[in-house]
Amino acid sequence: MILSKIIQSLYLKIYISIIVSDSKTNICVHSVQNSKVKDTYFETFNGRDVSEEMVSYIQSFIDETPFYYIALLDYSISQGAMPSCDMNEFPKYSDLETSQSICHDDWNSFTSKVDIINFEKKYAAFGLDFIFSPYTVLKNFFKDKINGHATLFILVQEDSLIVTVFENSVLKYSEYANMRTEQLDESLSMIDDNKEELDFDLDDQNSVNLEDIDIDDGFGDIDDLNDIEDLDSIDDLEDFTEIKVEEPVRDISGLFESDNSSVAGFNEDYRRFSIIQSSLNQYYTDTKYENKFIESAYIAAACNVESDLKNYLEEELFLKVYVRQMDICQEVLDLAEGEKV
Amino acid sequence: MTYSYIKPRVKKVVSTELQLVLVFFSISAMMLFLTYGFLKLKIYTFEQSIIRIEEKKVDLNDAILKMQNQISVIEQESDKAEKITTENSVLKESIKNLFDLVPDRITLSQVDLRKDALIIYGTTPSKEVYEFLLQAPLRSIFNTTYTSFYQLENGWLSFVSTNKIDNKEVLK
Repeated sequence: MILSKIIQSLYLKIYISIIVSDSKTNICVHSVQNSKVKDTYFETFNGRDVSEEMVSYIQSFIDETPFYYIALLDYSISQGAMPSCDMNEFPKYSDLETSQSICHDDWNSFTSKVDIINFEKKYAAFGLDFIFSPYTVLKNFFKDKINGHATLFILVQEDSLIVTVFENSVLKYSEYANMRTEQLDESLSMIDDNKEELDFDLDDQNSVNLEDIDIDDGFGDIDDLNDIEDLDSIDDLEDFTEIKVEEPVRDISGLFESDNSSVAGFNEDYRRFSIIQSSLNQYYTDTKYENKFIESAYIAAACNVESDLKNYLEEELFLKVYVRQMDICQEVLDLAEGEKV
Repeated sequence: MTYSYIKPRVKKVVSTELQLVLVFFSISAMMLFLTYGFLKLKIYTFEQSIIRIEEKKVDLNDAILKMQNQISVIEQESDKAEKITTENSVLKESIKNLFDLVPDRITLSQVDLRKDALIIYGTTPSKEVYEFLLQAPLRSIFNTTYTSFYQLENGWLSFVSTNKIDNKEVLK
């Protein structure tokens, strides 16, 4: 044991974190010598798949030392967290048989076993040593804030959102939302609605009567649009309806590509706001959660978050909002370096 | 506390191929050392055996010497016994010859056989019988013969004949 530690201290240690988002994969590398970070590297690769460039990039680091550790931030859509470590409570939140969980202090984070196996297969070219839950990252990032009364903590990533409530360092509520999935669901329901209405109109007069079109797809009342940017989105909506008349979307992939033209008619921040709002609503109304009044929210911004989100939360939900920029790559590396190996 | 859903892989300083080579060399080296040790042990055992055999040889040599001494003693004793047997045979023959010398008419009562002398006690019917029948052969054997007689009541004579060999020739 001591000999092993002596040998390890002689070698350089490489920690690699892999953060996968919708369109890209970020890789951060720390080379550590005698518990001190010697060098830091960062690289972005397009797409979610493991490319040859990515493998050769990682291989170039792991060839340097036998002591290398590769950490992945879990991006399974089946992940979550529950406010108890009691396995009897588990079925309320997820399937016990197909989930793998880690008990933190009186709360549990879990993910799909199948996804873990799939991750290990996907990254088999260089292997994985750690898979961390974003909940753990969030808890670690706000460890100085979570020990107070019930507060909303949000991790905003490019394509996902984690909404949690912590009270006295214990998780009371959690929600994982994949923006891609949410967006897909949202768009599908809107397309179905629009298609029915548009088909009806097209049959009649091959034109669109705007009064017949219901644009209330999760957007809420027109009174909600009290910001100048929201008015812009109304313009987008009009454009959208015109597009729909001329060229109705036929498949999901096509729909997906037209995301930037604001399929749902809302910007990213408003979508995030909607998710937070519905999460908060669930927290207050669902009896399985021990709810308390939330006064403030802390946002860990792992991607570029506009001030709109903050404004929405402050103006619509009357929360005190604090935004803290997060280098999620660095946070995952910190967790990896803190693990016992 | 661990926060990872999976356990990190065990990190090895040496690769599997190198491990195989090292294991192979280790086994070879171990076999060499074992052979060396075995031979050393055998040599030591042989040396100890040689020492034991040398000691045994010395002991056996001592025993041989002892036995040779015993043999020589026994041979000496055997020679002595043979000599005595021979002497006894000679003596027996001499006595037999002596008794053959004594005629029937003379009766011996005592014979004292010494190394260089023979003293005969007996009775004779007459002095002449003695002189002719016994004294004559005695004089042919011994250098000096002296006989004294004295009269018995029944008319016979009792005699004591003392015969000596002057040249110190021992009777055989």
